[in-house]
This record gives sequence, structure tokens and C-alpha cells, in this order.
Amino acid sequence: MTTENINLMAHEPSPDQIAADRIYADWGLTDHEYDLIVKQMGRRPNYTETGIFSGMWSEHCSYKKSKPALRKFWSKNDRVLQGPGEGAGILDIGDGQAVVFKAESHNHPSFVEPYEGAATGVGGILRDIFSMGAQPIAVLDSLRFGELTSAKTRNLVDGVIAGIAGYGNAIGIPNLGGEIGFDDTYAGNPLVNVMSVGLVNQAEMQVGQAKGTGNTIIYVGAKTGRDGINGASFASAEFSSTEESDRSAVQVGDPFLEKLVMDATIDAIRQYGQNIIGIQDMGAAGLLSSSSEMASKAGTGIELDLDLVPQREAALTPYELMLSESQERMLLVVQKGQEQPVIDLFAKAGLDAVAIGQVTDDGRYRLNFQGETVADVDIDFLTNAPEPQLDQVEPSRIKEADAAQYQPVVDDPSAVLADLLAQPTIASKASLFRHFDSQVRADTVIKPGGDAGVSRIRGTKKALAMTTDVNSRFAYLNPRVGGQMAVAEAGRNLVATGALPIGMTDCLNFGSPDNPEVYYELHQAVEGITEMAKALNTPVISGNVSLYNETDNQAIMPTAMVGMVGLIEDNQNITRANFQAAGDKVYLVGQTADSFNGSEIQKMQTGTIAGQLFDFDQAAEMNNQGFVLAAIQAGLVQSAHDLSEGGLAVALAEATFTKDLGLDVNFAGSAAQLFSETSGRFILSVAAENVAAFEEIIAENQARVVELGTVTADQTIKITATDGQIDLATAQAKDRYQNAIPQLMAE
Amino acid sequence: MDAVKVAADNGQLVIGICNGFQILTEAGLLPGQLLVNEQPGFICDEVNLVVENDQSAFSQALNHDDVIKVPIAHGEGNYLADEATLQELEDNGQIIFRYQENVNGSAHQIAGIMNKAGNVFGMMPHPERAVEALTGNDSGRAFFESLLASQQTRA
Repeated sequence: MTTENINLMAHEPSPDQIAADRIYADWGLTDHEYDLIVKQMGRRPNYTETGIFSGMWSEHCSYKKSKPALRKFWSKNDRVLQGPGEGAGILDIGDGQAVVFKAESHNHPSFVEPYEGAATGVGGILRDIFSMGAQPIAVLDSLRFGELTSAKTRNLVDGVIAGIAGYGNAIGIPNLGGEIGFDDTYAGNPLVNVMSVGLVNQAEMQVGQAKGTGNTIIYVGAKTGRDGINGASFASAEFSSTEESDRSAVQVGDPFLEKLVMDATIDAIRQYGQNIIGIQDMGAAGLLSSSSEMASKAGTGIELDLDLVPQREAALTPYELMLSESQERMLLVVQKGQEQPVIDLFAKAGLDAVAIGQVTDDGRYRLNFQGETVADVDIDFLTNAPEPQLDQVEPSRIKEADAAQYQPVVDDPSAVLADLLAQPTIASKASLFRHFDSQVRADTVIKPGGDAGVSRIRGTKKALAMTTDVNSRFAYLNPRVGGQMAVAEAGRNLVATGALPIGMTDCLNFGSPDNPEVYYELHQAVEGITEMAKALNTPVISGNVSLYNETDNQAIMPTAMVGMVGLIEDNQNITRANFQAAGDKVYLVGQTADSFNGSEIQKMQTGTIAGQLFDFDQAAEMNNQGFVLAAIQAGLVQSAHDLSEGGLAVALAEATFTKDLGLDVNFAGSAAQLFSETSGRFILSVAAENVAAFEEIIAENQARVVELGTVTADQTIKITATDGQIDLATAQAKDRYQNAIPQLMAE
Repeated sequence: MDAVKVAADNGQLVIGICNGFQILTEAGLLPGQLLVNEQPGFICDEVNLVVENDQSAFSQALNHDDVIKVPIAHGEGNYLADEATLQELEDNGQIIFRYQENVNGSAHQIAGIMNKAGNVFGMMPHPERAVEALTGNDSGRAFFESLLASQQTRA
């Protein structure tokens, strides 16, 4: 095997050939970047060194193009124990406990290999959570596909859903929700964003740092193979319909192995936490990024002996060993002399745990292979890619947009409601979610399908609410206001369950940043998110960027996914979205305007979205959320549901379905406004005996709340507006809502 | 599994839920096997179970024909056995729970069975996920109350 390896290395192009043939360019390095490397090193980099720069300087690892935008995020308040820059962010939730969360995208791999791409997305985000010492308690997913009328899209949906289910169910972490949207913009570039939430005792928190000269680097978990080689560079390039995509750049997941790695890692932290200096998951750019980032964060150096890396294939070269994205691997830094108990613990679980190197004090990243030094570079230089100056230009579609709001055609309000309920973005996703195990661990209070997922915290009265949200149509019309509205809606989802929003993460899915219009959208979205995050007091504690979501130079709509977590102090206050009993009074919180540009009804009636985005009233949003939370915490609310796509009529109808109820309400606006999407609104139901107390709270909060009518037992949805009426059997509405997606998927 | 087999031979209660049921059939402690759902794919839902036998250690807190709503979460819950075995299960009262609607294609709508001796039991649904009002369902408690009652009888 030794000779074979030497032969393999001997076939690698020489530094001079790499320069002459511009091999670095195939791996995504620009001429300018390559010249900088040569200049800094004082020589031409060899094959392995060129490879590690291409991985670490890819957008996926370095965030070199998105960093100028990301620096604008607000990420500090009293609760923040760990902000961005680690595996995941951490927030204090009291009683010595903390919540850990992060979201990540796996868009490119999921398009090429839907099942494995989505599955390994789940695996990767779980490792980010338990690398912080936390027990993962939930997974959520935010998915975007093209229209379901395309057979290719239906196959993608099936593959992605099966992949998330296959990994998440097998490892035993419940799927607590998320959302799925459909739009042609994603036909050639679906989005698979996965979020995970974990719990940790503050005393057991870990970080990914390689401190202390002489400490030992331990490789844990699966052996390294040739899967996902240089996947980070693959994820940092656009797709083309004429070129076959590189399937070998997609990794293969093993949830059963990850379960062992997860349990053993958490065990190791609990038993030997004092001797474990740092832990990091081997994600994008695998062993390379985990080891170099840990040293960079600690201001140290690293020396690895690659012959010691556990390998499942013969004749792996240093380039392959460093850039493989084989799954289910972790890197630990353990205090010198204390390695054996940690290694023994992993060995007992049947896992490889091997000392492969040590922390040094010289700031160098040094790799040894078969007695030779095959890479020797400056760590700071390697882990801080130069940030190019990129232009921003406001797209003309935004600059020149028509200020007038679309005027929906609502001749038959009942028919419009029934049709909206069957729009794939609004219709029930239960037929897809039912493939996810939402109850394993037996802590789930609100399953997928509510406004937010809720998981109780055992041994306390507390619970955590969690949601993901995005409306790319709003962001397309105005990325800044769209960003604000995504954060606002995530907040409303949490508040509707009775939770106080405490923090957020994000996945920024955009096209190529080299396009000045896309780069403008990215900056605007981040600014909008930050403005609303500050108002809501939900710091951005982690996140992920996915750029180059383009096929044939057509970028997706700007899609800034927001993942948010809320805290419920008393689980008796957990509130559901559906009406509970006939006779309860129905209230609308918030004012309704003609908010139609970017709405579902505009899309349904015109096939497109256009015009200036309607106004967003941040003060009203905050006031309304505050009121709803106060009313729920006072124990006066039977159900609470936030208004989003499809507006008031859709929200009212949805609330009748779970218990097959009806309603009889009057709305002091037009029939068209029943479908308006003005932000900041909720519908609440209140039991008759609580009406007096509820109305006192309205007065105290000076909230804009009107009584609409009553929940009924007659299973009819009756909504009377000033110029029209909806009169639709609950069963008929529910049938459209529940069967739209199964029918489309069956075609 | 050797220790489990010894316990079963000694008449101790052995219970397998979901994957546990699959393991008990593969280990030969319960007859039959569990195949991929008739409509392939993992299902997480709540389904109605009908109590067939209310005299067992696993169901004595329930009544015959009671319907309880219990969570399921499986992709391979389609119970299969040969006709003779199925007849034997029926004749001996070894079928404890049946699905009200056959969610996964199981023979004789079987959701849970015990061995002939009445001390080894397997079921695909998850009563342990339905024991608290807070998590939305406590209809699985009767299963655990049955176990407690049977242990008290033994003592």
C-alpha cells in the first residue's frame, strides 16, 4: 500500500504544472487568489496545499463574499452565551440550562442526490448541536421546490422527504415542523434548509477550539473515504442544465453510526468534560476545516500525521484525506496525558478514536504523510480568505415597481377561499410531514401543522417553541422589508403558542454574489432581519449562507430563511392554533389594509407577483405580539393563530379543521381584504366566561382588537364582509386543504 | 438477546414496542415477521386500536372492544405470518390489539400479540408516547396500568 500511495502522489501535478495549467481555477481559486498564495508562501503551493486553499477559501467555508453583510447582524444580549462563529449559538434559558440551535442549508447536494443530500443535511446540523455538548431535541426543515406540476419536482420532493425521514427517524430526534413552499424560481435549484435545537447544562458547554500547546487532536467516528471530495467548492458554484453535475461530491449518510457518535460524544463531555478542550464536527471541507478553524480560533498551530487517519479505502492521498466530506466524524482536542479514558469511551461504543496530531505554538498548519511534510502553511492566512469588494445595485424591478396594490377579483368569495386553500403553498403538508417521526423522545406538545412546534423540557414547567419562516415573494419585491417581515412572522408563530421569542438563526439562500443585484439583495435582507431582530429582542446567534443558487444564470428569489426559538415559562400556557369549542368568541388582532402585492391571491390570479411591497408597520407588529402574549399568559385564550399567506379567511378556515367546527363572523372590511396579507395580525378565540377579563386586557394594551363573531358547531364557515360573504361547508374547505398536495403528488 | 431469552423462558414479562416487536419476532420469541408497510414509507400518526383480549398482563386495565388512540411511528409494521400461525393466534387469544383501520397492511389487522405462555408481548404502536395530557394523549396509560396490576398480582 505504501508504494501505491507514493505512486499516487507522484502522479499529482507539480507546483509548476498547477500554475501553468491553472489547475487551481478548476477548484474555484481565482488568479488573484492564487497569486496571493504564492506571494505569501514565497513559493508555489504543491497539490495538497492548493487543494486545502481551494477548500478553505471557498465561499462555503470562508464566507468571504457574505461576511461584509453578515457583520451587520446583531447577536448580543443578556441571554447570549455563544454567538455566531461556533458550531451553533447558545442562549440562557434559566435554571443553569441553555438552548443551542443553528440552521444549515444542503441545497446543492439535495438537487443532485435528493435522498442523500437531505439526509446528510440532517446529520450535519445534528453534529453542530452535539459538538457544543448539547442533546439535540428537535429538527425542523424549511424546503422550497418548483411547482408540483413537474414530474422532476415531484421526484425531488419524494427524495428529500424520504432523506430527512430516513436520517432523522433512525437517529431518533423528532421533527417538530418547518414549512414547504413551491415556486417556479426553485425548479432548477430547490432549497433544503434544516435547523436543529438542543438542550445543554451550562456547565457542560463546549466550543471548537484547539488551545494549549502539546494537547492532542483526536479523530472520532466514521473512517474517511472518497465521498464528497471538495464538496465545499462544489457548493460554491452554479448549476448548468447542459453539464452533468458531480454526484461524487455528494456524501452518504449513516444515521445509526451517527447515533453512536452522538451518544458517545455527549457521554465523553459529561464524564471527561474538564479534559476536553474543544470539539468540532467535520462538516464542509471535513478534517481540513475542523482542524484549521479550531487552531485559528485559539491562535495556535496544528500538526497532523495523516498516516494515522482511519481510512476505509486504500491509497487515499493527502488531498483526499483532507477534503473528504465523509459523514459522522468529529474532531476532539484533549489535554495531553488524558487521552486514554476518552479513547476508551469511544472504543466501547465500537467507534474509531485515534490521536492524529497535536496543537503547536507556531501558527502553522502542518501535514505529514509517509515521513514527508506535504503541507506547511500559515493558519491565519489559510482561514481568512481575502474578501473581494463586490458591487451592489438596486434591481430595476424594485426601483421601478408600481406603487399601486394589486386589486383581487373576488366575485365569489367562497370559491376564492376554496381555491386558495388548495394552493400548494397554503394547503396542508400533513401528507409529507407524516413521514417524519414527530414524537420520538415523548416530549412533543405541538406537532408539525401548528403555528410552531413545541417541546417540553423534562423536570421543569418550561417548554421551547420553534419555527422556521420565510416569504421569498415579499423579499423579491423588497428584500429589506421582506427580511423584517420574515422575522416578524417567525415571532408571531411563536407568540401564538404562548412563547416569548428569545433568539434566531438563519439560512441566507441567494444567487451569485458576483451579480450586483443579488449582492444588493443579500445586504438588504440582512439589514431588514437585523432591524426586526433588535425590535423583537431576538439576537441572531448562528446561521448559514448558501450562495450560487442559480441554474443557467437564473438566480432564485432572495430567500432568507429565519429559524426562531421561543421560551414558554409555564407549560400550562401552551396554546394551539385551532378552535377548541363552539360558543367561543373569535377576535381579530391587528388592522387590515389592501396588502396584495406579493400575496398568494396575486400569485393565484395573475400567475406572478409584482408591484411595490405593501407597508410593514413595525410598531403595530410589536404591540400586537405583546398583547397576544399577555392575553395567553393571563390564561384567557383558547386558541391563537397567526395570519400569513391567504390572509384572514384562510386563517379562520384553518382553525376550524382540527375539531370539525364552524364559525359565524362579520368583518368590517371588503371581501377582497379577507385575503389581504397585512403583517402583524392574529385570530384568537376566547371562552365566553373569559370575555370580560380579555376585554380589560385589550383596553390595558391599547391593542387594535375587534370581535368578529363566534365559533359554531354547525360545520359551516360563514364570513360576512361589507360587500360579500363566504359560506362554505367546513368539510368541503378541509377536503380542498388536505387533498391538494396528495392529488398533485399522485399525478 | 441471550439474557432476554433466558428471562422469557423464566416467565418474566418481556415487551417489545415498535423496533422491539421486530426484534422479538426475529429472535423467535414471537411468531411472524414485520414487513415494509403495504404503502411503502414511514408513517407518524395516531391510530385507533381495538382491544381484542382484555385478560392479558398487557391489557387487563382495558375492556374488550375498547378503542384507544395510540401513536404509531414506523415504516415496517406490516405483520405477516402463515395461515396456521394466524389461526393459532386467533384461537389462543394471543391477539391483544388490532388496528381499527388497517394502516400498514397487517394480516388480521394485527397491532400487538403475545406468545402462547402470555409473558412475551410485542406491538408496533407506541403507548409510551401517550401517557400525559400535556403531550396531547394519555390513552397509553392503561397499557402500563395493566403491567403494574399484573406485577402486583404476582407479588
